[in-house]
Amino acid sequence: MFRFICRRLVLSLITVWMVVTFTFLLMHHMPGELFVVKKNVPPQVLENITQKYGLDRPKLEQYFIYLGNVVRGDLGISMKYTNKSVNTIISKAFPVSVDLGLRALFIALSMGIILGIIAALNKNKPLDDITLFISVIGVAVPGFVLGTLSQYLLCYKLTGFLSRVTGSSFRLFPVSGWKGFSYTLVPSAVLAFGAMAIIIRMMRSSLLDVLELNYIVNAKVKGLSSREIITKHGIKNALFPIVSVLGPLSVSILLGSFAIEKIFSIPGLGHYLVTSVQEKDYTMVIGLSLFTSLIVILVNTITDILYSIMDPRVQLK
Amino acid sequence: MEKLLELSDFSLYIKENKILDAINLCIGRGEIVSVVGESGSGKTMLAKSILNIVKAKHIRREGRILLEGKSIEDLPDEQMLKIRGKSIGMIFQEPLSYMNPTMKVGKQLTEPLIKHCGINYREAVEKLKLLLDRLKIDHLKEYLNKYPHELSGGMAQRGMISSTASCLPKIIIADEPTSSLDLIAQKSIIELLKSMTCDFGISVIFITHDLSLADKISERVIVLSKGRIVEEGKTKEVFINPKSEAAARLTASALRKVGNFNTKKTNAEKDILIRIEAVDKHFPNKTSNVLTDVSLEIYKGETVGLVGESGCGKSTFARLIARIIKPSAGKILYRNEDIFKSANYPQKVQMIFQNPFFSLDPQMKVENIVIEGVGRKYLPKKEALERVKHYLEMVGLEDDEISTRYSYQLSGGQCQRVSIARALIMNPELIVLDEPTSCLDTVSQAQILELFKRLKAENKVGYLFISHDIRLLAHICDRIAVMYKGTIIETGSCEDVLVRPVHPYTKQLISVCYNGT
Repeated sequence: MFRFICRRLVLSLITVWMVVTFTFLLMHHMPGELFVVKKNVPPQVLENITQKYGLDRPKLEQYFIYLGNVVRGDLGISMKYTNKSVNTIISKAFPVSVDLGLRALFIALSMGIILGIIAALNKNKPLDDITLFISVIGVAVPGFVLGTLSQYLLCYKLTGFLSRVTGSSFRLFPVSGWKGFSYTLVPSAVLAFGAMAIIIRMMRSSLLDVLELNYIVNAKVKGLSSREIITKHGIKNALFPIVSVLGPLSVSILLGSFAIEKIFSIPGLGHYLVTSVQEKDYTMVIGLSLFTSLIVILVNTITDILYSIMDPRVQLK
Repeated sequence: MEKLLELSDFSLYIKENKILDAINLCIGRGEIVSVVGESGSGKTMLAKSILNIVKAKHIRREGRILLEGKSIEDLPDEQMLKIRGKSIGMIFQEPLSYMNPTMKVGKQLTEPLIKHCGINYREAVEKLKLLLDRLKIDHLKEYLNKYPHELSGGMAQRGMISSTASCLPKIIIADEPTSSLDLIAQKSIIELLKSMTCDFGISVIFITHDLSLADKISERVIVLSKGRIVEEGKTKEVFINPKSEAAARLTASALRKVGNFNTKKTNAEKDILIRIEAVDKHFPNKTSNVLTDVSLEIYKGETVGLVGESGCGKSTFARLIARIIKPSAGKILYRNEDIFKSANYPQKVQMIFQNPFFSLDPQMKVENIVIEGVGRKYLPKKEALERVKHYLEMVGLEDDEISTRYSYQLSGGQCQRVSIARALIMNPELIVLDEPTSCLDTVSQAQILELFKRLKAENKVGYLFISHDIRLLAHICDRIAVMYKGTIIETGSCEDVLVRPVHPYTKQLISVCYNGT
């Protein structure tokens, strides 16, 4: 385990370096002047930045200056929000994204696994069809459609109706913002929906496969009841395919929440990811890419460790 | 004798296909009855029907099954739960696949005890230990703390039997419990089953395709063919004087198997093909070496047999020679050149695996499987197909349709023939065979062995034949090497090893095989 983590650490350093280099190269090969002066950037500020990051020097030199800053943990100042450093933006926005993402992940996993089990145990019966219907919707309907729709129906219509009926000012699902528990419910559920749909289908087919295996027959021969067979021998072995997609799935939930954050006005990272590219905010782009790659590596390492804990046949080397 | 289990006119249909046809069967308390038949004769279906665990759509059951006079054929599932494991236990052919890979062995084996006897884990372990002790399992504590993938087949099967027997069921149904095990493990399992009947009055239904094994364990035998009982009687009588065609086929192949050994080896050219020099193999996270200081020479065109109990390192050795894994120490030389430096080594040494179903790609047609090694793209289509046909004919698959089938549409014997054709088409100098017949029934086993004999005479290919059955090796090999706990303890011509064994383990192995003692 220790060796595995050390190896991962070295490999992730190389990965991060490559990500930084490639993004740097790409940003510098984008058509047009890198920092076309925006109307709201005072010339003095621009000059300061140029000075600090050596933007008037040759590209190779710029690259090393930047790399040096990164090693020191300084991701630079945002070119758009000139008064903020990239570090500050990430440290402010990322916790919000994580909060939203973890809630969504929890909903997706718990609901997905439970519904998947229900579907598998009621194969080809109405309950199976219902869960299949839910998962088809989840896979087919994009997040922004679902987001807008649920915002309109749940947050606006339903909540409005309820407060009118009860006559209180309490709002069950606030329309937008990020100020408390009630604000998190609808966005995280919407964000979870797509992932949940995938998990339902995987859990269903994987549990059905496992239930065909010989050791389930043996458990039956031992005289265990169906409930015992499923809880003791079925579920754990059926979870492996889900654990293996957990890495990419959680990354996409943690970082791919742009549309949802926009719809519900949540001050998360997704917003910055998109605008920085549009605005050619190059320190921001590289900073965020670096940060994203770190998250991907971290999540994948955690999944690998989790997998090896669950399956004794897998050994980390 | 008091009747314990009785089947009267029991039939099983799956989608209007008659799988079992009017079975009448009666088993007394403390009796062992063997059920023999070729593969596909319905033996396993019969066993599963008794416990009502046949899994298929559109099943129809007719007739009656009586346990101690009470009919159990249409009991609801909740009531069957009290019979399964408690009154009737079952053990299976490939024990490892019947174990949950993510649960510790101890936990799995104590499940029936905890469920049916209402005791806790610690008490169950104590009870289980008494049984495991009799099966010569050392380091019990470690054994129970292992996961199934860390066990050999024999170890797993012993655990399964003790787990099933621990609840003292009235009947144990043993479905080919020894066919994937070596002879010494086989013997200990048969002894255990016998002692269960003597000590606790447990009845055993012993399902096998091996008549000689049936003879060792039971006095009464039932011969099944195509879902019907075709013969029933004393095992000795059926064995010596079979009346039905199916029984005659089974005896014939069984007798051929124990035939005289072939000691007249034509002294092969003294041209060393492969030299294994002091090879060690150590796997990470294992305390001891799997192979220690193994040396062996294989001459060109020679058939060498490697025999040993399960888990002694035979398969690891085969994989080393086939260049699938690397040795930790020592050298393997092919014509005096390190095999890891030789470019054409993979072509010259081919390997055939134990389980033909697992070693063929289910998504590929037979013709593509056979030609894949040669590279279809380098040959015109017609020539490729002719080549495939030639080699398929060589292994006795004359039927034209076979080349367009998929592996799952073939029987075990056919699959293994395809594997052999696939190896032969590469024009190898050595074929490594890792228990090529142990997954097959006696009839196909005999056919495959015939095939090897013929191929040996026709082509100048050398074989390294790995098996746990020394009788089988004696039948076809020029030389035999005996492996014990990761080292080769004895090598010599068949006659030397079989008639004048030196090492005590070899002596034990031979006496188990030939005398059954």
